[in-house]
Amino acid sequence: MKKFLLLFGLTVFLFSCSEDDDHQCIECHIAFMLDTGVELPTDIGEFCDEALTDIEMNGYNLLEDIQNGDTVVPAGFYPADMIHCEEHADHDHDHDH
Amino acid sequence: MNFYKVFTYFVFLNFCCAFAQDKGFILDSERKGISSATIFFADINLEVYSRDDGSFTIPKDIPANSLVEIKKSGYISQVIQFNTNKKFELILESLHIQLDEVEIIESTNQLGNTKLVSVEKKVLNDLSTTSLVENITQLSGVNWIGSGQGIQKIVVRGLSGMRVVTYLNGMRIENQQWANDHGIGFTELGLSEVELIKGSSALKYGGEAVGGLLYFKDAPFLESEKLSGFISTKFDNSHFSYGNKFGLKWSKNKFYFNLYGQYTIATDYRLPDNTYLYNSRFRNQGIKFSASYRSNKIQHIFRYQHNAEQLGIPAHVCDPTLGNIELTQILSDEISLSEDYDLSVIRPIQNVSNHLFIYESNYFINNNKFSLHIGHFINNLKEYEKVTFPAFDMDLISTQFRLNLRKKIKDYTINIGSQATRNSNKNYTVDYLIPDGLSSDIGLYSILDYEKNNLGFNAGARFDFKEIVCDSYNFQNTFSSLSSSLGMYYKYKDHVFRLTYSGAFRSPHLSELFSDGVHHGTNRYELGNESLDIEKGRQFDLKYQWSSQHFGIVLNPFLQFIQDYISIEPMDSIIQNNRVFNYTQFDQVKLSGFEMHLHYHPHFMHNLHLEQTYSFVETKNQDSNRALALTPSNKIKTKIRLDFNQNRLGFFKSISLYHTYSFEQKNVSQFELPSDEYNLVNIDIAFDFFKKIDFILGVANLFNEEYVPHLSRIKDVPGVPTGIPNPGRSFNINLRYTF
Repeated sequence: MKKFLLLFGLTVFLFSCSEDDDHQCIECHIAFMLDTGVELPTDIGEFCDEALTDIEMNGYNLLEDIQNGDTVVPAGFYPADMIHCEEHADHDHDHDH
Repeated sequence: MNFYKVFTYFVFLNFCCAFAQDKGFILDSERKGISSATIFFADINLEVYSRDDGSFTIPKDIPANSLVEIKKSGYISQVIQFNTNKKFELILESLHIQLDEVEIIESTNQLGNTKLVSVEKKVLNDLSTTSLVENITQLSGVNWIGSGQGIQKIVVRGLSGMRVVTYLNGMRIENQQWANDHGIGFTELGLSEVELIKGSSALKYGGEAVGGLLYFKDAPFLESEKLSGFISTKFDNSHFSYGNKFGLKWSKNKFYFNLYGQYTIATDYRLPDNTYLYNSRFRNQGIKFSASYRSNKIQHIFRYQHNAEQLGIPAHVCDPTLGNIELTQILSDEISLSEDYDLSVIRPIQNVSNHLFIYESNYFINNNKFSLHIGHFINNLKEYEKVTFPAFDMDLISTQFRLNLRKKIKDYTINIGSQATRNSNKNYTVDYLIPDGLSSDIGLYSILDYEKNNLGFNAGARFDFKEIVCDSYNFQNTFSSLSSSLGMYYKYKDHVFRLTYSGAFRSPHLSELFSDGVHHGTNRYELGNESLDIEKGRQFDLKYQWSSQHFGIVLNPFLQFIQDYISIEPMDSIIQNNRVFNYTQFDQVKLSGFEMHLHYHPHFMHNLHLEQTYSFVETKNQDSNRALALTPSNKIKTKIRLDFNQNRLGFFKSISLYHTYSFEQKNVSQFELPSDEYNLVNIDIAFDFFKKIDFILGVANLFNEEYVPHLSRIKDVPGVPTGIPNPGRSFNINLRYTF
């Protein structure tokens, strides 16, 4: 019986390992396309919770131009498919979530 | 006086009870007891082990004439019919040459008689150093499509996806298997064996298995009132994966219970050049239990299983139309063990949740066995491209009902039955790739086996009627066809011959008819084709086996034709930044090949085993004279195992060396790249430190070979002409405590 209870406890433990992270803040960027066809990721800051859902679902209205290296990313509306909040391989391991 | 009466009564009662617990014996040819032999009562899925003196207790109320398989490594297995009136004493003959899972032998199977049908078997256990799929691909003619250990699916003689049907404990697994980025959906947890039919001979389990059928079986129940089980852990340093499992078996009177649990997590895998394939990480959780109650004529079994998987989809680019991608987008120079097990913000990923419920009932009367099987499978697949909401969220719910009667009349065995299945696909997102739809299938089958002395034959037919309804496209269509199978077996001295013919059909799947959307896992826009019709397969399979005391050989040529073969082909157009792929049908394709198995066992060294398999397959689209896409490269696989059981050497139990030589593959389809040859060497060393602890140390890809299998999902990545290699050298540790 002790062994049975031990293994039952293990089962419960295994399924409690799922992460339920209610509070989520992530850096997002505009995937700005250069004339050369190369993507220039342009950071637009960190977004959390509902704001994060909103920007991923509806896009982002950039209020001011952003200087990104030699390129100026103009103010204006950027649709959801140009907004990326997911991480890429060249991530810097400093996200907060 | 009364005291003496009562005393005599109790003594008599105890005497009767003691002798009612019938004993059986498993002996060798010198009539010495064989210990730890498995006595498997196949019809009631129950096993017991023999004691040191070869004796075992026969469980109560075993149905008369039910099948019993007696197995012990190093001896010839036997299948007998249980006879309540006869003493259970069996002599096993020793066997030096074991052609493993491929030989034509006496064994109990779900898929049919191995002598008459092309069934191969692979034993699965919790101590395997490779994944479930990689373990099965040790069989010749079996390969896998995938990317790392996360996403893997089986290819049989060049066919996969909808053409290779998977059953788990009698339930057909429907988990959106049409796509190469959708894996098998469960792990090796609690499984004991898989049976495989190559080609289309699986009449009992559906006519749609044009390419083959895999039948996974849970470990049997154990007749023992003592709680027994295991706890195991496994670590692999290519993925930095670790997995913990436990299992237990318990029985009391006629009630049996098995319980298993698993948790596995892995980060991105390391390539031979010490970079890491970003987003090849995964996590898996599983729990399953099964309970059985039986009386002398009827048995009830209930099973439940839940698997939850999170799988990263590697080598993904945000905009595939950009052409060549930068390697920095898909590879990392380093991993952070504190962060890179995390799947919460990396994209794309799949979240898969599977629930499987099964009820089985077996009723035994005279020489008949009635079986009822009811299964319900819920597969939820979410694919995330964005962080906060899924691009797809689909439920695929399958309900299956099967009734079978097995009747034995002298040397004939007849199986007749019916199977009904209902699959419903439902989307919970606005955008979707395949629409909501419903398919219903009912099949009737009859299979006759005859076996006497050294001759046997098999004949079977199955009629299936399928209806597919899709309201979004105002589509309602029916597909029906007849599948058939014929087999013949003949044994002459040490030579065994078997010839089988099978014909099967497969009706088009919802995804092939109505796909219309971006498939993020494959970076393509997929378009269905409403005009697709049934594809029909015919296969001839010849098997010849010969073995002497120290050498064995199996030769297995095959030829298969598939008419109206459904394929997905690229088109010269782009939709939503993805190349368009369209489903089409080829008039006829031909698949032919040859498999060979050798087992050498030198007389001077009984504990050395040398096994080699050769598998060659060629595919041809006879419309274009080109090969089919994803035709596996030819392979030679060698295994050398040295057991130290007889000549004990310290703590060593055995050493196994695996070598795979994969030929280059230049027979490719129009839009496919060829692949190079490679050599792969793995090694496993098993130790025997303590009686109840198993410890295996393994090294995979010993020489850190940089290789890209032809079936790799990440072979044809734009900008990476050589493809992305499989993992480099990795060490793995397996530890299991059994109690």
